[in-house]
Amino acid sequence: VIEIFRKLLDNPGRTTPGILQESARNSVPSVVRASHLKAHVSGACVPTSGTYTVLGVATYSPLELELFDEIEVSYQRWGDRAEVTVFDLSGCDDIRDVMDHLPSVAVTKQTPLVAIWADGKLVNSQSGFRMTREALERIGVLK
Amino acid sequence: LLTYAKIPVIICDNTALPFPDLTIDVVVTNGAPIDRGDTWLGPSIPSAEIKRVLRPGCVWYDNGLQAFTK
Repeated sequence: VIEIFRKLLDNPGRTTPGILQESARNSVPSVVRASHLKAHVSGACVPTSGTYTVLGVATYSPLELELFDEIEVSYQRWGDRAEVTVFDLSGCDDIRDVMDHLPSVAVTKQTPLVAIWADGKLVNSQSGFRMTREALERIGVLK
Repeated sequence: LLTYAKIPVIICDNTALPFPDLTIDVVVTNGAPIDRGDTWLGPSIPSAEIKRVLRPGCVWYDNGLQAFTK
């Protein structure tokens, strides 16, 4: 398993965690651009066809960044039939910012958050690591 | 596990730890926001507060890695 995203929080130089987290947060967008994931734009319209996933993670959490790695590794499984877009929950100032990323979703204060649309209809939304994982497994984005 | 091991659990304000200066031997944080101020998920942990309570020579582990030694 590659650990491109997870490695952003490696700390061999014993950097103060707050500084390390800020560095990781700043690096995530460029790493996303280099991957098969897409950066989710707040307020973006949901496509009316196909499987569309919006996943928000807290980029200060290695466990949640690993989700990105696992999804990237699984690209062959989902690349031709789903679109996976991601955003940084820790970059949101308040819950309204989160809701702008996840329209029609009952947002909770639990990370990560995922919402899945099929042909433009919201078919699942979950929060918390285990439930988010299960939702992504159900649509074959994770194995 | 904490109950089994009879380790006391204190639920407290993470921005004002209820411990005197230089009294804690090890601090462990995991997947927690540090030095981000108030976030929509709640207050982050000020690293200054962790450093305040750590005893000299003692260690702060973040995400399983040694992040700071006082």
